[in-house]
Amino acid sequence: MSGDSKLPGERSFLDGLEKRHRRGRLWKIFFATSIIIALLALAALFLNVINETFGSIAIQYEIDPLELTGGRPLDEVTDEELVAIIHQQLGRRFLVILRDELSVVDPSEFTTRPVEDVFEGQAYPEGTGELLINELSDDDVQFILLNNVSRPKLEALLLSQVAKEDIVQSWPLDWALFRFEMSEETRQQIDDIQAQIAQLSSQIDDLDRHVEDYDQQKDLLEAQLDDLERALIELKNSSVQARHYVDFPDAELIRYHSWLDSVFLITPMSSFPEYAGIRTAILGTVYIIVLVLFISLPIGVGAAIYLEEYANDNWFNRVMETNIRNLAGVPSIIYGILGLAILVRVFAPITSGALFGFNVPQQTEARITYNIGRAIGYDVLPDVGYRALILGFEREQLSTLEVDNVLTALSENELARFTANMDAGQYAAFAAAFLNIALPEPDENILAVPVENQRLADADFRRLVEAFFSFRQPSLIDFGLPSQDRFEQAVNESVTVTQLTPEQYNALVNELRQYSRLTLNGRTILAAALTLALLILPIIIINTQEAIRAVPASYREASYGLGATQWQTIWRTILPTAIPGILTGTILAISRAIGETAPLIVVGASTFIAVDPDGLFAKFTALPIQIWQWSTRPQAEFRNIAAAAIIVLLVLMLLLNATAIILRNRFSKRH
Amino acid sequence: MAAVQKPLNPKSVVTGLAVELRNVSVFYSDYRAVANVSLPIRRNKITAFIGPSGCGKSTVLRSINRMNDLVSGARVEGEIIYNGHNLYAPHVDPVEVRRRIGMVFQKPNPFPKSIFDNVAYAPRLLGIRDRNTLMQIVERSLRQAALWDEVKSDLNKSGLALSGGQQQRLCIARAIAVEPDVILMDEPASALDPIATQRIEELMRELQEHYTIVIVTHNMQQAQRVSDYTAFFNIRKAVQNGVETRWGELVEYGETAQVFNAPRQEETADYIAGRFG
Ligand SMILES: Nc1ncnc2c1ncn2[C@@H]1O[C@H](COP(=O)(O)OP(=O)(O)O)[C@@H](O)[C@H]1O
Ligand SMILES: [Mg+2]
Repeated sequence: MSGDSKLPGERSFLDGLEKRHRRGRLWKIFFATSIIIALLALAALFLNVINETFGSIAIQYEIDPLELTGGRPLDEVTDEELVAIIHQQLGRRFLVILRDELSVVDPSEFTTRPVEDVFEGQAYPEGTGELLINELSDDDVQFILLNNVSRPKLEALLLSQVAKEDIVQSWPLDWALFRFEMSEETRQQIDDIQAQIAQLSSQIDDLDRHVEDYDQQKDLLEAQLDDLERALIELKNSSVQARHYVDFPDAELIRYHSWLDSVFLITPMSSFPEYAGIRTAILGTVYIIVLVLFISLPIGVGAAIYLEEYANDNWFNRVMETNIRNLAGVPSIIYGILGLAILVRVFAPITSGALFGFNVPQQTEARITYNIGRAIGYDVLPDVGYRALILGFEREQLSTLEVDNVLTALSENELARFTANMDAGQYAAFAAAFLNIALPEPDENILAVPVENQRLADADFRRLVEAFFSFRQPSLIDFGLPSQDRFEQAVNESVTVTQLTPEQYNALVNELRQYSRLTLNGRTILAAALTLALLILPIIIINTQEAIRAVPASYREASYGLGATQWQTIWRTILPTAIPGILTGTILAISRAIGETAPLIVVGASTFIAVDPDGLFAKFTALPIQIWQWSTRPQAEFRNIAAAAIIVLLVLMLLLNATAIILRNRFSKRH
Repeated sequence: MAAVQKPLNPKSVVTGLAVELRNVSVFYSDYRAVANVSLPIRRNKITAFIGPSGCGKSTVLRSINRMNDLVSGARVEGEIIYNGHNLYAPHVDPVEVRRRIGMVFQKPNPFPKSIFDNVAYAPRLLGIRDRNTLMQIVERSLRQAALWDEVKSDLNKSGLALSGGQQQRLCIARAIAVEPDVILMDEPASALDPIATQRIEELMRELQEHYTIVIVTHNMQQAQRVSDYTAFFNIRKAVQNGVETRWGELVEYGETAQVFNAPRQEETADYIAGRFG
């Protein structure tokens, strides 16, 4: 090498070479570490979800099933006997089971349509087709349940509805696998410690009577007691069986329980984790996604075509394009706020469906309360609803299934007390509101309350309607409107309503019809779908632009060269070639929309709905909402079902992504 | 809109001009790529454009069917006369121009569609839907393009599944499906092997019976073998205010035999002899 060369000499080249390789190796290690960390995080996430989804549970019954069956194990009880036991134990609520499990008509029509309609396509005793459900004999109703429900379902009904099974504790999968058994030694120790605790406690009690004298000794014992209790807790926490043995010795222990099963998928919401399912959430998600697709795909593709094919390269279009790119990065919560401000509030007449005669705008809560207060003598009614709230049911939980729970929670006595204070009109409204729930018969004396005003003033009539429904909604609105007959039956006994003129009465029934569709302003599936559509619109536009840009220029030239107009070139060459890219981009955008939680919360997803969504203007919930809601609950069981729901969501996303791949391959192959 | 009229029956005016370029200059934005080209394109003859890379052969060719309109900023000055109309007059629709003056590109560019759909593309643009009519058109075009025998058994095969030479003949079939008046070919054989090239050359001779053809080529032998007339373009340079500018100009036009055997310009002789470019 010549002396004045700018290149490094042999020696320093070799040194430098080593250094260059070393640097390369360092980067390689860094990259490998990144991917390992990513994989580990993924694995941890997945294991955690699996761990929560499967595991042990301890089940306790309010009434021992053996007691119900007269000591025989469930397997030995015939179907007929099972049904009879359920009927005997539930009384009138037996019909509620038929309504919830078998009826194919709207719940509000359950008692007013003939049996052949209510149980269409299912078995019912011969000759009873024309009758109403209330006219059936005990044997007939038993027949219906017996012949239409499978054995496992019967047993499940007995356990859940009658024996009131309750999952008192759950453990994750790692405990079920590795920390399930309790050693004999542990049992000995627990017995021992419990005995000692009992003894010490009684000693402490004794000493307590002479506190001053024995303070010191007591301290000593208490310290000992603390130690023992700590030891007990430690032992308790050593295995599933130990915990079971100490805390729930009477509960049945199931080692492997899956929270995710077919029932979970098809069961609506419940506030009890063991009965809760994600049917409503899945349906809500499906509705929303289909809508989002229909809204955002045409608009997004159209916008992209405009930007790529038609827009001139001027500053306005450049600003627009830059903004679309920025929009794709805007945090989703901001779309939620936008959706709330514009779609839910400003466009409420459209998104609530009121413009199309679907949902009548809801009164504000303050107005409801005001009306309740002023309503003619109805001060008692709201109390029942709010009493339920006080008992721990959130407003939104008070829907279909929950009404049963509320009433169960209100003791018979309380019910009687509430109803006893009602006049006949209140009682009728109350009965109508709770429709199929058996209530104590109203007191004859109440019905005989004399009437002072023979005609209701129009203003009073309005207030009657408002009071009636301000009580019923929003918390109980999902329960379904009493059918006209049922309502008539109820109100006919009511002194108040019988004073209505026929016109007033008809108007009242019409109001009821309308109010039965009440939803919460524009907080509907439509608003949610529009919000999410907005959210993914920029993504779809960008993806479509990329797909269009990826169409080789030679195709474009060939098409123009053959005398195609601009639109013909777009429609016949550019779009067909770009479609795999567009579809893939769209489906990926959709799977982002599926997982979005924040905007849905802001737009007003309900956290508790037990009825299937039935159209654009229905209230809704969605999978991520449900997962979020459950994961905020304190009880461990909710975390289990949240994990199960996460698996469902993940599977749904995998399905979507697989569809994207299949579609792409299908389209690419055609060319 | 006074559109380009139906061309005269080509056979009746064998010696007529299909297209005439009058003082044509082409600009890309402010850059003048080609200056002052005046050139006749004779009916049912093959005219070859030759010259070094960058001298503007493609630019001139593409301006004949207004493909340069697709390049934003491209602009043509002068007149290109076709059937008595200036193609760049305001009332002329470029879509109609391209339907009369077809184009075959350097790199075979069949659509990612079946052979049938490729050939039927242009007829369909005109609104022809009937399957039988389309079938007849497709068969005639493929026969004219000497591809029919090779593909007739499987017209549903993707056009991309053919060999390079077959793809280029498919592109020719596609271009002649609507029976254009003139076919512009921009180095149609430069991406092909010698055997495929030979087939394309034979094909051009056959097509000459029905069509006027303009071909850009880099290959002197090819120009000599296939063309009746040859136009030689060259690059001009000038330094203005210390900045060098380059543009293309037409140097010589004449019958092919004359241009190659007895060039009037020294430049042409140098280029043909390979002393240049
Ligand atoms: N789309 C375009 N935009 C700007 N300049 C172009 C474009 N196409 C060609 N040119 C320029 O025009 C000149 C002639 O190019 P071209 O017609 O392709 O030459 P040739 O086909 O003879 O090789 C070249 O200087 C080239 O850089
Ligand atoms: Mg060229």
